[in-house]
Amino acid sequence: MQEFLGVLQNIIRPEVLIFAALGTLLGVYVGAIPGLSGTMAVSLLVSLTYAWSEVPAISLIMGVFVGVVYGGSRSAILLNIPGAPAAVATGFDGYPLAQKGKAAQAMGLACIQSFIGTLLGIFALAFLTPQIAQISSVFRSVDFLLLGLLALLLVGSVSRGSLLKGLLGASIGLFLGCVGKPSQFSVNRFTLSLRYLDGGISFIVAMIGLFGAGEALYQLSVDYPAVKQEAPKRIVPPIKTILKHLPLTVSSALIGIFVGALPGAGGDMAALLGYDAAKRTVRKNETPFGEGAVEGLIAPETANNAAIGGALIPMLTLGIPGDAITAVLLGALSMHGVSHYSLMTARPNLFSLILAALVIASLFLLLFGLTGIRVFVKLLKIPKGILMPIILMLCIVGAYAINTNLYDVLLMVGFGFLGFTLKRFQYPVAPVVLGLILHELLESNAVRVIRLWGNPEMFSFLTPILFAALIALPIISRICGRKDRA
Amino acid sequence: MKRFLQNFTSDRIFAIILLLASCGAFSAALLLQLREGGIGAGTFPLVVASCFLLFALLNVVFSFRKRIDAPRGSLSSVLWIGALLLGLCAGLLLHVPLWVLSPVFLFLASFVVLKQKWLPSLLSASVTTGLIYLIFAVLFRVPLP
Repeated sequence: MQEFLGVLQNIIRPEVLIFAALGTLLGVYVGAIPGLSGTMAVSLLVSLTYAWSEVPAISLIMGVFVGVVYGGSRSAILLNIPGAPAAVATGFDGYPLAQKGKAAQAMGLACIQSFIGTLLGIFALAFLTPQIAQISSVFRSVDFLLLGLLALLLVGSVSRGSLLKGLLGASIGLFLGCVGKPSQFSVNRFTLSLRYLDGGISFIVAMIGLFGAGEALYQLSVDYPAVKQEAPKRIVPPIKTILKHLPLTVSSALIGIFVGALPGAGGDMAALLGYDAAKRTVRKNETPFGEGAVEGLIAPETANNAAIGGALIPMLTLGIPGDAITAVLLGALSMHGVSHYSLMTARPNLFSLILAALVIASLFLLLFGLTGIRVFVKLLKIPKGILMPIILMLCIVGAYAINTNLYDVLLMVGFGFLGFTLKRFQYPVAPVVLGLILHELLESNAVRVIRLWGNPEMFSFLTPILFAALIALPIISRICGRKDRA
Repeated sequence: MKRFLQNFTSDRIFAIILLLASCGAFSAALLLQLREGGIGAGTFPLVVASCFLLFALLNVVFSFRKRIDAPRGSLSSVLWIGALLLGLCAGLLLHVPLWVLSPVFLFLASFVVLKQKWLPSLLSASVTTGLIYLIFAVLFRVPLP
């Protein structure tokens, strides 16, 4: 009750209100620009807010955190360039919706789902933190490995047409992920004696190249007439649509919260798993997945925003960041004199401030997320001859901005050509990115599991559950698929 | 001979290229594993490269077993020039500053390659370059090349 009052007290503080709103506005628009990632925006704000007192600083950072996760979906829907890794799965059905002339409706729905996802994540953060933190702390290497393998099953979901081509793409991605010096060994692998490759291949650079430059080159190669966008009568989806998909929203949010709470997993993994779960469980969807199914938009957008609350749980209770942004956030909090451990009990005021800032940010997400959509949609009315060069230039600058390294630009161009070639020969591009994203999780935990094999402590009570899920999911999907076809 | 060559459609050639790439990946991973030995830096790449090789092999087999697809049509010259410009732009960034390269690339791509009118091309080139500088360099302090 006291915590609740604390949150309420913080919500009505003008500085929390102003700075959380400002942060959300910044986050929504920064997130939409490829190359300006949430981690980068938060890192920059941390340095800017260094001298500020903790209330405005934390409010601003929380606002940005909420805003960027949604912002990334805008460019994913409009241009098939995810503004952030968490928006990769949004593009699977969001972009086809835009190609059908429903970009504005897709962005409206994405905003509402992001809002609901964020609120459910905050709810979990406020009321379920001790329980979720306990579960996530028992996760062992073998569980992470099984989780990675579960996420790899997503290849089946994102391979349109040919599973073999999807598997081929995923193995290319996983192999490219092996380039560079692995975290557990001091050996350079497959770097072709190029020092630049010692650090490995950034999957954000690959993502910009494969999705952004690859798509732009593909658009140049085909002579499609420009898609006429429907004049949206309403951007906010009807309440009937939201209520109809409420079970999917809740299940996606639960996935988001849980995956977000796992150290190192983050919003991108949450969104991918949410999308996969939706594809396996949703039946009688009006449009098939991958061709503009609203369910394919609802699941990842809810999951990636719910992961915000999830990622904050281990950070606030155990001092372990859930993803890259919370790692930066942890550093920011320590700069403001906050010790790492058990923030929730040691600094209840700060905990309620974070909750309040998140609530306000999610409310402003509705405002800033639903406004400006018509302006964004106008981007698609720009002639292809003007828009495609702009996208290619944005890809160049975006790839450079990640590490301010010119070799990243060359790598991005290489991935752009690879993306174009794969698309031209009808190989799915998403599994390559999936492989790159999952590589670190799979390799580091696989090696640990092999080394610890035989030690009973390597298993947790979750291991059999995850193992059963790994075996059962493809079988259930196959049976359900057969029934659907019948 | 002509009939034999007709079997090699672009899809099949691409499948063969992927197979060759997978052979390269497999041999590199095998060499690394032999050098490192045991459970080391080469183990995981070897497993992945084996899968890559297997899938690429199956892909070639399936591509030759299925009927020949309708020809995809040749790639337009617009794409080739666009791709060349992109590669050139990325390569030249090592030597030429972005504020020079960006408007030139955008104008050339829009006006010359994609046959847009000169005024919208010029406007989009200058506005985009300005916005890129404003957002990246001024607002986010990214030191652009």
